[in-house]
Amino acid sequence: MKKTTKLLTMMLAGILAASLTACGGGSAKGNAITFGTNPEFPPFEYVTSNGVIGEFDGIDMAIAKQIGEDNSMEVKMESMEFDSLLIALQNGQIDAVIAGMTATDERRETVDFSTPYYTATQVMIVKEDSDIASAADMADKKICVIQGYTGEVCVQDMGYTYEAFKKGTEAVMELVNGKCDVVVLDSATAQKYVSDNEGLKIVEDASAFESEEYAIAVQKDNTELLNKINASIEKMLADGTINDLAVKYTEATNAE
Amino acid sequence: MMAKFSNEFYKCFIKEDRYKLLISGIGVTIKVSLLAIIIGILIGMLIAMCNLSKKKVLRVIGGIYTDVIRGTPSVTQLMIIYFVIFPPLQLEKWIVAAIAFGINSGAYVSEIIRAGILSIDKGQTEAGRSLGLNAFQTMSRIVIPQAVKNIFPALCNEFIVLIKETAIVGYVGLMDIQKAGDFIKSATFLAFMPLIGTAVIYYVLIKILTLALKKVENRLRRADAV
Repeated sequence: MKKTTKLLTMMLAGILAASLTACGGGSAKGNAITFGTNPEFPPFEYVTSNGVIGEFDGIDMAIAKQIGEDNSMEVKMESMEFDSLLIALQNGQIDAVIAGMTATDERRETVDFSTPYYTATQVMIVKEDSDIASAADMADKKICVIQGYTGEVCVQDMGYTYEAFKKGTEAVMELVNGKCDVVVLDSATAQKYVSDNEGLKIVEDASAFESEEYAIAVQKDNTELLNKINASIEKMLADGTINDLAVKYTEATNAE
Repeated sequence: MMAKFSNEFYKCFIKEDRYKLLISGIGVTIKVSLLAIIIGILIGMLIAMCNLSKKKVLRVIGGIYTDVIRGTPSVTQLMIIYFVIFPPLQLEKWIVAAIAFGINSGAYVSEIIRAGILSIDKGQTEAGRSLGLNAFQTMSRIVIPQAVKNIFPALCNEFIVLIKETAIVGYVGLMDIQKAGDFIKSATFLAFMPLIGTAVIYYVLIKILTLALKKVENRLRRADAV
């Protein structure tokens, strides 16, 4: 019995050692930059079989690629859950986060943000015959949001009860099936859902929903990388690249 | 109806070669499951030996391991291992995931093995020892060969559970079958086709595995009859 135990321990140790030495991977330093994203947020990031960076495509992905080209760095993209992005960034598993992420004060406590590259606002999607015309009308309605997204934070701040879904599709399905009355989410994505599903419309309420700015997150005090990213973003904002990308990808995903 | 169905099918699987995502997802699921099964069996054997050991220290270690692993959700374990324990090691993602599932599965496998060994009548051990075999020989030549037949069906069941369990690797950003389906779902804004497609792929994979394991099991039983 003792021998078996010994043998097993050795085998296990062997396998672990082999797997340790066999693979490097992770975020390579030097002339490469590893971005993290959550590719379930079209048109900003989604997965297709031939995207601009590997299988990843969308507005953010095109921006990330351009940042790499401007600084002659190789761009790698890691996908993970939205909630995990900033943890992975602090762990050094990725160098930067580009995921339609809003630069909130809460997030600024743990990471640094670049110059905002896109301004988005929250809107409500309702059925065409709905009587919801402003955010205040949601008070006694059933509200759906996407977990961890800004829409959830807004609804929370307004003090309404809501149901949070992992995915936007699931929340919109609830609305289409009549199980909830309103979905609160980002305007760019909302437009896509409305054009894809018949009988839905968008309701805006600028006084209730502040517009928010998407920015790229880097580790605190990684000024070198932040400066490179900012220079690239400012260039793209000045020559209209980002606007073109936004229109192109919104139309491309809406046309589907 | 039919046109809508085929249109959705086209959108979800054919358009932009989306089926390729599912195929690479199948590769990830198989890779992670296989390595996890191997690690799980090794850890399982080790822990089972600890639990059956005469030394109290080993029994306590084994007991704590099974207790902690069985008492926490595998999603939590996967996240702890990926985000807390392994970041400094810079291992490839699928290997970290496989280690997490292997550690998890090891706790269950150890109980299966322990039960299998305990199911062999004590008289077998006594007979072995009285014939002059030492403890190791008795275990490896008399008890374990008999125990394997009792262990095998339960172990197969554990493999199947493990493969389905890997559907949570999306949490650490690996694209397995489930995640590939999710990506298609979020890119097409369609729920039915990607989810049913995902279910069918898992079903077929596990059906193939079940049939193969059934063959092995029958072979073991045939040897029994001789």
